[in-house]
Amino acid sequence: MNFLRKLLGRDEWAITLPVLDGPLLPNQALEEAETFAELAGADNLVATEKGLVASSANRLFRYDAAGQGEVIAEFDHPISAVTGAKGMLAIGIDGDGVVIQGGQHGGRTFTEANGRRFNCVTALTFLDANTLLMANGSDTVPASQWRRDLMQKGASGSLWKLDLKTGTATCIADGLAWPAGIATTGSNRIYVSESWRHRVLAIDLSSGAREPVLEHLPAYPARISPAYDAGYWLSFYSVRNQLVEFILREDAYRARMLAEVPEPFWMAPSLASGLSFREPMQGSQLKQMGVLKPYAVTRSYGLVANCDARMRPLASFHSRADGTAHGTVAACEVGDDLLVASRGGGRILRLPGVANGHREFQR
Amino acid sequence: MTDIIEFQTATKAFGGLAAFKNVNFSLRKGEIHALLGENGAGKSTLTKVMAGVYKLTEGKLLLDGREVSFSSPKDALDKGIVMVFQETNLVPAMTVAQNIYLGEEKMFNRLRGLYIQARQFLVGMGFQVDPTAQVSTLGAAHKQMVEIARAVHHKARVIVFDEPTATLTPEEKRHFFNLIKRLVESGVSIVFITHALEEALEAADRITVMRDGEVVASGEAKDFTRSSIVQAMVGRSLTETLHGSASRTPRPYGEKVLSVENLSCAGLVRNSSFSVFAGQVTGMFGLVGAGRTEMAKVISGVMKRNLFHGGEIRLNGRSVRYRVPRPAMLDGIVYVTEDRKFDGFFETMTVGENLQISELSNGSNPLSVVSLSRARVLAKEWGERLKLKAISDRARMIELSGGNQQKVVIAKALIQQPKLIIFDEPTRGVDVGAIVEIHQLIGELADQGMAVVVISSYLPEIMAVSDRILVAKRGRIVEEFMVSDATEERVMFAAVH
Repeated sequence: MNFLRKLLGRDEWAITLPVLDGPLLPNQALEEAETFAELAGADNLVATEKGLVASSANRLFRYDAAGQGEVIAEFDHPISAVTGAKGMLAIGIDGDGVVIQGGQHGGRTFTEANGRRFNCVTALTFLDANTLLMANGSDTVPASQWRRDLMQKGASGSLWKLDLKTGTATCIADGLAWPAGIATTGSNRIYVSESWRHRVLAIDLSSGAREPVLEHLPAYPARISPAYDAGYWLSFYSVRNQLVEFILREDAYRARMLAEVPEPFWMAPSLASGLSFREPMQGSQLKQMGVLKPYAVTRSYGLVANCDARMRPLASFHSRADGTAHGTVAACEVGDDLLVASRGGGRILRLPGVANGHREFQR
Repeated sequence: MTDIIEFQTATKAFGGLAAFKNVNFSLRKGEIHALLGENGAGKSTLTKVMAGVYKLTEGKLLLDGREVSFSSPKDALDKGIVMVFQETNLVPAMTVAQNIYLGEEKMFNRLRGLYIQARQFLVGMGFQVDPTAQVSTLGAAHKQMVEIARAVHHKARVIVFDEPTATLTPEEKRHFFNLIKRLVESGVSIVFITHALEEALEAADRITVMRDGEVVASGEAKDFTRSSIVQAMVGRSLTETLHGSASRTPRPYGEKVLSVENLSCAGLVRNSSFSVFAGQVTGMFGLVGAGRTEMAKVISGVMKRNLFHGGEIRLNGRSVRYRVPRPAMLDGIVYVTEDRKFDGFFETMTVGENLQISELSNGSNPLSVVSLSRARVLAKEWGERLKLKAISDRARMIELSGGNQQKVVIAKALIQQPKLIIFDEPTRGVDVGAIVEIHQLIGELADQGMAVVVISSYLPEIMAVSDRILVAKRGRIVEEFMVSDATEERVMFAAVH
């Protein structure tokens, strides 16, 4: 049957995509948002009592309400994940595990468990003052090589519970296709975004049982952060497109592309595009009804969705293919405002009033 | 230029309901006159009066300044007025030449001679059509050429086209307009009904816009703009009183029940994608031929699966592809047909019997035992629920009014306890009172958490019932609005551009 489905291009073999419609209907909200701060490679937003913490490459910044930033820490490797609670900051270092700064567990590190190295920490969330949840995106590549993991169809991600008191790490779920975001629900269930399978899972912490709560997303989900009204902000790496879906089915082509083409020019999702004329498809053409038209597949995109407590999308904020606020991989609420880190656009965006239900923007 | 055809305060009513009233319209010799308006505006009826299909109820029709009343289409044809319909009136099994000379056959026909004569005639008109080709093998454009050739052969002075370009490709359209310009140069007058505003603005000499059976704007094409035409097409007062104001808060999004991804179907639906959410009414607007009905029929298994030319349909995330409607019904998808008389019910059966037939198909009665008492119970139960006004419990469907027939069709769908219900033109041919009740029912179904899709070509209806409006055009969903953001102008603009 699988052969038949593959032959006929049906079910998982159909190169079709869910459409961005309904609550995910494109608008210009991210493109029109004001710039809170310019920060190249902006990532990992955490609202703390002392201000907004954000990361850029291997440096950690703290911003005041006016958007003035200062470096508060610097590491040898890029920062791949940050979370904070109770005066503590947990920082994921790309290729080098997790380090806790401040608070009662300051200085504790986690670099491996059960013979597996935490070299791809993609998301961190405190379950309580003594427990940290960690997503290890892949066993084979560091977090900075997320595109390689996608194009290799990686599914070696895992979810861990780190006991900060004892320093022990327990694997809760394994075989995940790039878990990139974790959110707690106040119960034993947590939400985990599984990027390469375009879904969000609910995982039971005691049994490890998984259940998809949001499937067939038209984009690659990234981090999840808490929102007003017990909801969540779900950010995305980029949108899916049919060409990438097709390439993901063409093993021989993909293997050659990974081996022979420099990574910035892969036909793969990206956090930013239009940076070089050598990027794929930028100068391409499409003949439609006898008329030659310029055509480019969307590689990068900016998308943040507001979901309810059951992870159902309610509204979304976009920067479309012609925009620059792309690669919006992190979002967090500060007061009534929503702050979004646009890694592709190199800035932190502020959407005033959005964290209080304000929704007025151009389509 | 002199007027070849003129309507003076013309009215055509069907059983007291005016299709158009007090219409003044003129067609000059050698001009191209575009007739625009929404579906149901009265354009087709007006042209059918011109072509002798109907007679005027009131007013005058003048031909060359003299009052005429055509007794039949043949009568109009004899006077040089020909109508070319969207679906061509050619005989598919006959050749091109046979179709051109249809009705002029002699006792003994020499086909070779006919083909030579037809070839000379077609070449003379600049048509590249093989006279020996069977019509069923021709594309839409070539069929239209044969229709035009036939009209010219009948010495047509006036040719009326009903949506001539709906099925043509852009190149075929260009060819078509070159063709009608040549006809006009030879003194033929053209009336064409179209939904494509660009075509009217580019090709026509004059434009007339109709709305709710009245001419609301008429003049030289150069005096019109796209926005002025759209404004004239939708600006209405009567419908607002009937359907209420559209400015209301839409229902929130529920679970995504249906996801259609890159669906293609037999050239009618092209790479179309959209989603439908529970607890909402999703309106699907588009002009006739936009591919909405085909999408709905493919989703619900009504249309043959071999017309399914790619894409995926996901019901609650699960990929589905139905070959017949029954598995779709069992999965919770029902389609309420736009053609109730043909597809909706058995007209000589009673309401209860029709309802029981529907119940038999939902699997709740595995032995398919027919029970008259059960039929009566169903008729009573659904009659009360949908406020059915039947003469008696045993009334046959044919004895019911259009509105009540439609309620029975809806009841047949609701018996299936669907998760997703697709209404196709739910109030077509339904009286005003029933329209309001059907709209209320549609709203109640969404309030109960059902995913509801309403397909309608009537914009006020879409605005009145929908929470979310999808606009279809030429087999694709081209735009989406929440009803709070939608205006009639914006929706119509998306549908015609």
